[in-house]
Amino acid sequence: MSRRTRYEGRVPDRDVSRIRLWLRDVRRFFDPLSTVAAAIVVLIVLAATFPGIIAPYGYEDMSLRERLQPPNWSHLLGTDNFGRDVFSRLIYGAGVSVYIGLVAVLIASTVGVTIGVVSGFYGGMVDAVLMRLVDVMLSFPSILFALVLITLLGPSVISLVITMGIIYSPRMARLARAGTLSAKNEVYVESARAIGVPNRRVLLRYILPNIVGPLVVQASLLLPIAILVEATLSFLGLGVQPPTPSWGAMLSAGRAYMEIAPWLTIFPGAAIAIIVLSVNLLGDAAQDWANPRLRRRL
Amino acid sequence: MTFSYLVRRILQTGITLFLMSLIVFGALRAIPGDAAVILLGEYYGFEEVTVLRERMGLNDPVYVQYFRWIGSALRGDLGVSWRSNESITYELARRLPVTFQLALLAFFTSILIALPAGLVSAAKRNTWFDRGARVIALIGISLPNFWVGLMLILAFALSLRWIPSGGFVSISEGLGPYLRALAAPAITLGTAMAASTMRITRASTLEALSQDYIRTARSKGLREFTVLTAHAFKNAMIPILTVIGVQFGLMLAGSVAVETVFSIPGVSRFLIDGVNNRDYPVVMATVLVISLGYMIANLMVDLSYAIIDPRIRYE
Repeated sequence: MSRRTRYEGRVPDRDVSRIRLWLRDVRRFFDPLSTVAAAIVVLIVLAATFPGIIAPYGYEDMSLRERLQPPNWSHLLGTDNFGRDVFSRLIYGAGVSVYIGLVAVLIASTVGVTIGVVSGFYGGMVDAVLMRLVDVMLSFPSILFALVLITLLGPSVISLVITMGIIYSPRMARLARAGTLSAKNEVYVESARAIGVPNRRVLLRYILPNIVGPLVVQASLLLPIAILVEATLSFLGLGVQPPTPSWGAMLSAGRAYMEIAPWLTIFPGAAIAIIVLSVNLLGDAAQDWANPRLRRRL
Repeated sequence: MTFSYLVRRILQTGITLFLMSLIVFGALRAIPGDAAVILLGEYYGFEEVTVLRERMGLNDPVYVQYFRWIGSALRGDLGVSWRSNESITYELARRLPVTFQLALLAFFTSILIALPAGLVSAAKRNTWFDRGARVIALIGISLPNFWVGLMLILAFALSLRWIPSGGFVSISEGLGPYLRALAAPAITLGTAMAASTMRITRASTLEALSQDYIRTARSKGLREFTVLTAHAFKNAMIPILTVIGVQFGLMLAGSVAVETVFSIPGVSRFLIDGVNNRDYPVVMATVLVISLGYMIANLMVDLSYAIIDPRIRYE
């Protein structure tokens, strides 16, 4: 049976106080501002996951008779130059933005943490070579690398995700390496190695769980950046290609009609701003939560 | 600041740039397919490809190609565009001043907003002003700058008709038209930068305000304004300067979307066109030049530490 049963008779209050502590933690995380932000993020993730349920029209449904209509009751946010419903396209576009951002952060975390942990754990030549590479990548604006990679791969969703995964992995690598270096010398790691636990197991079961906190916070700070970069690149025609509804691409398409149909540029941009702001607020809250000694950054 | 430090720092910059050029060159040479074939498009004969390959030097080993490229780049010849067949050096020489002027104006805009806002925010910590300024800064970080640009065009160019909706006007045509053309792009770029600068100004001034010398300054009866500007702010400058330096460099790259929105013929626009046309020589050259600008900005920040804070001495 679990350890908990063994202690139950001796310290009956232990679990209760732990729950209380946990509740206090949760309450500390959810101040009014982060609650609103969390609610918005949940709503957008729901919209992104089940767009068909919320969106009144499909994202490719055209009605040439209803071209460039201003917001009205049948088209809440108006229609575009093909008579497509802007609100529905925004809902479908949420999925594109959110999931491209998430997958990019996931790739960046996996690649970066692997590099960082291996580098920190083994040291020596591996460490030297990998960290020089990371240094060079960190010493230049990442958008430059993104543009080089996209030139190489051609514009598409796949190359966008790969590109962002690569350009943001150095930050994760740095952090993971620092964590590994300090965890490596802890007594529990030394004793694990002393009783002959294989290296891979030491890395995965002993070191990784102990350095995961800051990594999660860093990843949550990367997400809004990834969403913004996706929007920027799609806006420049270098990311998601039409007719897939990406917020950045919608903005770019709406530019030509700005004078007669400003809603085509106002709403997609506002959508990007709202999601990025909410995720930023949550990231800040996560950072405070993980490290209460840091002053609130907002 | 010792001379040897300066030399070492410049050498470091050179090595980083060299590694960067290796990465960029290597990445773009790893393209699937043949550069000559891409250049010729759909219709070409075997002979044409052979001739072009020979002329472009694609038959040489890769390292020979790299050294030829970097060698001419160092002599100021960045090659020709595959698309227009024009000299890239000439094109960049025309576009660099445009981007630089935009960056400089944006820089001043952001400093004018960020430093006072950050200082007042720190001085009036946890008041309504402070909270408001912090929320605005967070919004500033979250807004996509190309959208801010489009909204400025919508409001001030299309509705109010105060400014042109895009394009660049040289200062030789008068200060009025010049500022009207560059105001909106500079504000777009500057406000994005102001947000981060304001946050660091506030944090670092708060840090300085909690020091002992501030208590001393206050207790000897100095005005709060003097305490804030001459004592706290001066000591808070180092982190602020670091962020400003990084931001200035980032702005050179961050102007990609802004130059597109406002149809400004700058370096970033050139780079985006190069990426769109898969014009490899253009991409390589612009990335290298922007990187150089970024490294120089960082170098200057490093060196200015010693001037601002005499306690810092480089060995």
